[in-house]
Amino acid sequence: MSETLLEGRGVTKRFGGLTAVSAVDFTVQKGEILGVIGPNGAGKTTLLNCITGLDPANEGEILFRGDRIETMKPHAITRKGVARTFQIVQPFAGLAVRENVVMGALFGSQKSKKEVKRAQELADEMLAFVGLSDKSAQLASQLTLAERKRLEFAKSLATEPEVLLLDEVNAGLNTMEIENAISLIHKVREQGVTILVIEHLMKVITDLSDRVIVLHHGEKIAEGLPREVTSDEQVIKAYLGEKYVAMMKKLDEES
Amino acid sequence: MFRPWSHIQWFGMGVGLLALILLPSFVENDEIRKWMDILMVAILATSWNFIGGLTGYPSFAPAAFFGLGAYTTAILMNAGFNFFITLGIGACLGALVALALGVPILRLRGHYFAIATFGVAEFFRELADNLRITGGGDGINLPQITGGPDYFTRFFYFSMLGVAVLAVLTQYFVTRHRLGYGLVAIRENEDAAAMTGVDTTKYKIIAFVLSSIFPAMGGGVYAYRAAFLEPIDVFDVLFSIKAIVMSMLGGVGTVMGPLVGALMMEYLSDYLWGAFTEFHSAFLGIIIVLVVLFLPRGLMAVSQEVKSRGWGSLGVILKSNIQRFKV
Repeated sequence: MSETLLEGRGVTKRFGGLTAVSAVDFTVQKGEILGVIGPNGAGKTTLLNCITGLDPANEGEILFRGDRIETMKPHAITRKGVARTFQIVQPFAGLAVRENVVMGALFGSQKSKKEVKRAQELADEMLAFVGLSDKSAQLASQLTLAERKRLEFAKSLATEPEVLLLDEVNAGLNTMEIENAISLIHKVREQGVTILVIEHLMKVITDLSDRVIVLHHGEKIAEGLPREVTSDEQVIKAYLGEKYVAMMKKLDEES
Repeated sequence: MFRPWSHIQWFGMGVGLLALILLPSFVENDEIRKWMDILMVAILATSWNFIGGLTGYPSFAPAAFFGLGAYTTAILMNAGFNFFITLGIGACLGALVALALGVPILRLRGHYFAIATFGVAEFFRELADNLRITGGGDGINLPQITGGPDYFTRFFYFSMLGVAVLAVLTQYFVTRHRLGYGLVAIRENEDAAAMTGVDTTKYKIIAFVLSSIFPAMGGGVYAYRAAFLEPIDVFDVLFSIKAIVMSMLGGVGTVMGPLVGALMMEYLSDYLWGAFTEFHSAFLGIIIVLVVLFLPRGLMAVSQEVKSRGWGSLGVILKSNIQRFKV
């Protein structure tokens, strides 16, 4: 029933002597939201960089709809239908908000070769979708961080992706802004876009994801439903340290 | 960003072009020659805009392509080729060289790219200085054009005008289509451009090739007119610097900017030459510094802001330009 859209087999990325991502296998099913969690430095962003071709993997295969993409260039991967947002937002700062999104529409999906006018229409739709219509004439550099994150969304969505990779969309946002972002992610999924989301906030990932994989020191240490994963002893160790687990065990025994 | 020109703007450009076409019927040969120089630097500035203004890669290569085109015309006309055919061959040669150089050089960014392109111009100068086919340091003569001064002044003027119109129209159509948007995306954030699907390597090379074609043709016209070439004349870094400063003065990344900049700069330098012959380069230098300081985005950008905010805000605009510069 479920169809694998994106798949990694033994994805490995080394920087000098450091193995940032170590033989990670993963699959993303069509229509799901897959969460990738792990403490700082676990290799989450590096994994995204491997998938999107920004930092190609040293070993392993990455397949999108069954096609190998691990040696393709970033722009070609985007055009195939894999879009992403950056943790540190990457707007075209000197351009208007609308023009930022036009870029995604013009150069993204090659399903239909778009000219400037059609791209502008699509950009306006995307801006309405993320709620930035009233800011479309402003310079991207004038937006607040939360707005810039929404701009990243609109820009990525304008490439008409089949799978959207979100890198810490909530980093630096306050509680209310996080809620807005989460509802936006749900809205994107309802449009039929498959989502892989990186988070380090446990709460967010459990609310959001259908399935979760956990990275630690570049290795996949757990995979499963959010509920299962968050009660996994290894995961708690990775997040909170061995001492904490030992302490909790002791408390359990005493009571 | 790039709106298609309105009917009024097209009309204005048409009137401008008509004025340039009719100009030789009304003025002396001296004045025609002056406008020919303006057109020549307008070609250089407009061409630089493809790579420097739109794409954000500060190229010092215009002199290389200008000289390449000049020597191509010189050598081929001596071999009996028709002048206009040599312009076409010069343009193709410029494009091929840009293509071959672009692949390795466009991997560099910022200062490194600037230095590398500077090196390219110097390399070609050395080549012209030492090859037999270019006449080496002694220079090379071209066939003299026949006909009186009234005729050949107009012949060269209209040749230059033709190349300039070609350059400006190319720029207009590039900036109104995907290509122009892709180049600007690269200028604004190259990694983000790649992530939105822009084939950055291909686009940068196209921009570099476009920036090479018209200087090569302009160089060809210059060569036939000069009737004698020396390497130091045409592979002169001043051509590159003029192209950059004029684009900046008018406004980088716009079609009109380099034209406005070329016109103002040539008139200004002409005036300074007349008024302060000895110090004229020093004054020119000061003006360059002032432009960079107060008008980093050029006169066109300032005039647009003045239009929307009124003359009273001119001071604020200039001040904010300085602040932007600091950041």
